[in-house]
Amino acid sequence: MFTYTLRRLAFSVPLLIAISLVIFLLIDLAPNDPTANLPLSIPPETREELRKGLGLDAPSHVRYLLWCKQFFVNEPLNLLDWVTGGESDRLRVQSWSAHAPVVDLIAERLPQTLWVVGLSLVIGAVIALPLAILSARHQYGRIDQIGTFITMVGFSVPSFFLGVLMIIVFSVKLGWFPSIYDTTHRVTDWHSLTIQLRQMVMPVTVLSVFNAAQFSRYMRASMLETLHKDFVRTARAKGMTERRVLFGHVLRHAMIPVVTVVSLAIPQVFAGAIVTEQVFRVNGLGTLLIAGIQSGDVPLVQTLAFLFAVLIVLFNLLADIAYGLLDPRIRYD
Amino acid sequence: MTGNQGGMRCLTGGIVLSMLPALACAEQGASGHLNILYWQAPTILNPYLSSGPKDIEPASLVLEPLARYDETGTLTPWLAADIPTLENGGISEGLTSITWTLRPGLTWSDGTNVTAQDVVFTAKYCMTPDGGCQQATKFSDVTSVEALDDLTVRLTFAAPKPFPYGPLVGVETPILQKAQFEGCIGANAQSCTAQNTAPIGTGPFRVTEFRAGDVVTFEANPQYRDPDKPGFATVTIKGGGDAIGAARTVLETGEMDYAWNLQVDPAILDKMAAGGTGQIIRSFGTPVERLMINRTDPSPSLGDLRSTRDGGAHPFLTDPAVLGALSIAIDRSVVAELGYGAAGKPTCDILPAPAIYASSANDACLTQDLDRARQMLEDAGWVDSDGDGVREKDGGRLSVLFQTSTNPVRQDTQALLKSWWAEIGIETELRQIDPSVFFGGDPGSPDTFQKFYADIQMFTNFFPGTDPEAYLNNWTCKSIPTPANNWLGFNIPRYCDPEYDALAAQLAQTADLKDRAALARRMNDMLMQAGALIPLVHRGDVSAISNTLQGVKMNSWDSELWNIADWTRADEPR
Repeated sequence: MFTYTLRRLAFSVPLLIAISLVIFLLIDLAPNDPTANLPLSIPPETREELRKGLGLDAPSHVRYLLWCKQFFVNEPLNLLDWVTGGESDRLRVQSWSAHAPVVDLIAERLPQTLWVVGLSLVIGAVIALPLAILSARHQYGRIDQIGTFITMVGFSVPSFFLGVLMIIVFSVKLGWFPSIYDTTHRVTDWHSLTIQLRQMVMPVTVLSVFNAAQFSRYMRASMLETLHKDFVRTARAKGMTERRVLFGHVLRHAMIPVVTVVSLAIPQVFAGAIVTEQVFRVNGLGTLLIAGIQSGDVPLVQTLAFLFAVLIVLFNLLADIAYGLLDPRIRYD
Repeated sequence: MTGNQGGMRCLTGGIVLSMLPALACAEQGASGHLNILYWQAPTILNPYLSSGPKDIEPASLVLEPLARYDETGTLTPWLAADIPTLENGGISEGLTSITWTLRPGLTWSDGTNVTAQDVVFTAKYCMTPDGGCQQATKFSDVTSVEALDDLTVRLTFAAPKPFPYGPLVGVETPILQKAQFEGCIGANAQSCTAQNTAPIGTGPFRVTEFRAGDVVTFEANPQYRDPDKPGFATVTIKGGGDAIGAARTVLETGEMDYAWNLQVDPAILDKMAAGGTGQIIRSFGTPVERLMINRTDPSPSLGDLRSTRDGGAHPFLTDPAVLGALSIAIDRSVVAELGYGAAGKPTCDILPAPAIYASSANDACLTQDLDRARQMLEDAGWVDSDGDGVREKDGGRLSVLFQTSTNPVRQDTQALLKSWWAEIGIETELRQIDPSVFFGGDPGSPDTFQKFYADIQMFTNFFPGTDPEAYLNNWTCKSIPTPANNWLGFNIPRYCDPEYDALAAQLAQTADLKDRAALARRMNDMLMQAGALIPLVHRGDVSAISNTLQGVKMNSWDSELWNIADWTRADEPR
């Protein structure tokens, strides 16, 4: 298992470098201009100067290598300096629209994204697990029918609709929850915690509904498949209690495909929830990415997309390792 | 008890300075907290590095210019003691220099004095190459900036400058503190993150926290020159979401006090305004949604000469009858009402404001007249001889390619115009281009508005401030985009008339405001009568304010937040 992990990790390095090149080329070849959003009153000569100032007059390969140097060499060294308390003035990856280091922008956005999107993943899983077990146990029973209906609604209602609907009902009509997420709010005591929870209710609910629907459908299908396996019949024939059969034999086996779904959902937590963040003004990583794309902020988009790629590669690896732990038949070495 | 005392002091103040509105003279910070929503969130607070209103308007809470425009478009001294003119000797006889005098006793929010050196430094900051200064054109003619004494600064121009109020005036070019920005000159400007996100200013507020693209918080500046202002102690400018959601937070949930730039479907906006917590405010600046007519031939067969004057004139879009018919077939009030509601006024001028520049010579086009349009085409020999609904003459068909940027309002307008033009026998093919490509100016792309590989295109342009000289210069012969100048230039219709160029040169030599206005109106009329541009809608700015907020004076000539020091919270909703 250990050598397998090492081998996979080593293989990730060329893969990630190839990904970074593909991302760069995609953004670079797309028709895009960071000065496009400026007011028309800014004359073309000034725009030309601005593009030059951003380094856009350099050839593509030079810009790519510069980004690589800033991201792979300067940023880690700066982090090291920061940890050890030293001063550093190496050139960092700078956002073109904010004129600030991209990594700082990401660090600023991470807390709210982790809180809202991360919590919705956990809540989604907590709802999905019992719902799926009950649905599968009593297939076509009442719980299954209701569960299927709810998950289908959760799947098919888009978050921009559900989000706005919730704002109209709970913010405009009832006035229970704020429609704006205050990122500067600090939790210091019980009262401020309730404020934090209140502002998280709506965005977390919208995202949880979708996550719960997705997870429970996978889980239910996987449970149903396992329930009809021979080893389950054997277990029942041996006179095991239903509880033992369900949790000891079926669930562990049924978790294997679900692990893939969940572990690939985790990197998406870091990608933020573009639509939901926009609706509730959470301004997390999702809105950062969209704003970067809209303003042609190449270093920002490049860095964010690459970090997502790293997370996806990493969690794919973790999923494969988790397979090995869950399924004794899988041995990598 | 304390509230009472504040009221007493306020009353006496009100008697002494009866010019001031009575409510503007409460104690500093007495109104508490103010929530403002800029749905396009600010990403930087240095107007020299970002010219978008989303950045420069929040910056105006902190940074102030020498003079700015009030809500009527009148130049008002701000950090300067008065406006320099020829009469008071502030502008030299030859119109080549302007001398500003600062108000005495001004301090930065860190307590140090504002001096002429700061003003000189600010000009130098923008004029240093490689600094990426987006306001560089404002300083393009400036040859020297020198401090005559601690409070006096003289700017010298390379040529006579009849309107010298460009540099260091208005929301785009405020004064920076030399001590803070000294290390940020030239190429260093981009990496001065701390300075660019929390500039030290003279304004009513100072930055307490800045999160790019998310939220900025401010607190009242204790060093502000008027000890009774600002009315609010703290301000939050939040960003994110879209315009509809922004309107909802003011008009329906009441969470926000002010929401900026609400270009939304007027029907939705009016419905929200019935919510009862706020109201919509509007003001009209200079933006005009217009059609640009390609006077050169865009046909692909011309290769590199497409849409250039070398490629020859357009087969029919220089014919006054066709241009007149195109214009008069449009019902501008329907276009304005459908797309912009109360924030749009039908217009027949490319220069509809400020009022002294507005011509009334072209108002005939305000009324749609399809019969007359048909008659004009008929008289000019354009007839539908083969019965396909499209007029022809000498083998040419009246068929146009009409392009614009992707935007729901623009697509509605396109569809409307197409149906009217179909009624008078002109065939229209519609095309929409992604805004970042259309406005992107990439010389490699065939779809930019400068290349104009189409017959007609539509977008909005405007000019900042109140002086139209630079704007009118856009239609001189030398501003035509061509392959030789890498398609730079704003003379999109490729209009070229030596007489117009002569008027532009005359405008550059005229200092008297009335004469300037007369010239500007003549230039506007020439453009309109040539049919180079067909104006459609004079667009206004739309914002929403809470019913409890008072003192707001919506301003299209400067920052919308220009007088935020005077804003206060009403005890009773208005």
